[in-house]
Amino acid sequence: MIAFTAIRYPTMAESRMNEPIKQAEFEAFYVQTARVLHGYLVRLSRDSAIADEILQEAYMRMISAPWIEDKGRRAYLYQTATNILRDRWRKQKRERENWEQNKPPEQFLPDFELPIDMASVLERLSAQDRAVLWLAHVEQLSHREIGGILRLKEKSVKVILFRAREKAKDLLQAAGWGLAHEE
Amino acid sequence: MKNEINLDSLLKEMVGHYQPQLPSASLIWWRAQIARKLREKERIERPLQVMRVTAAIACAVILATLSAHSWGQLQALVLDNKWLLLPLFLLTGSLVVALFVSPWAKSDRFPFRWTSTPG
Repeated sequence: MIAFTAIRYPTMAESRMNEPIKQAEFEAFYVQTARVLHGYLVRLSRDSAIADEILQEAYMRMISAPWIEDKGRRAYLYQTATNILRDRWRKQKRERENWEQNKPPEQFLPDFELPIDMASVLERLSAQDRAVLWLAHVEQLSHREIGGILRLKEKSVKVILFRAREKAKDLLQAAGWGLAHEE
Repeated sequence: MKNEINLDSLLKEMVGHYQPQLPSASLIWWRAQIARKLREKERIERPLQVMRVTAAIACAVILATLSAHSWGQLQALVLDNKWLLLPLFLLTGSLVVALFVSPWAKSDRFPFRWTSTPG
């Protein structure tokens, strides 16, 4: 009796799993993501030199990591960058103060070419709130993905995001920004 | 709901205005390749380093055992021939250098480099 077994060919993603990313693929991904990731890191760290270092470190780790599909690569990058920054703060014993508490910045970034209202609103939020707002609104990530990046539960992300939005809206209103209220 | 849309567009507008000076992708790629090569080199050299340390420890143990075993004879030999102290001192010094200074000299933290630059 002959037994037929179905041959299962590996998918594109499976066959590339152990290969690192190719240079051309990396460069295209970098052009697509670096500017926004840098903005995220500057907002989080409040220091463009630190943002530069972490950006490079995160991309270097991504290059060394096994190949990831395009969808997961962005989340991996944000997770790596956030972890590097939090590790730095942990070493300086400043994680709690920087991440959860709303510590006002020592100095405002003078060379920041941004509309002042939103930039100054973000400056007044905690790093966790800034990260959640950025990932939800700029990167349009789901609560689950944000939770994965920031090491939070999906439900916690929902609550933190809601509170961060409320705080941001209050600050915008206090600054005289005309937010339309329809509710 | 409108609040949310406004916050969304404000954040996106802020990102749209942001034009930082970024390092080129090829520079990061090149740095990653160097880091990878260094990691590979370390991985290859690790067994050699383990062997080196093991050999040094074995030598030290053998030397200590032999010295302890014939300590009286050694003492008498050195006291009778004081000129033996100088080569013994030099040998000990070289061993200390070989054991402790040379691994440090290979690390990045070593302040002096003997590599010559071309031209």
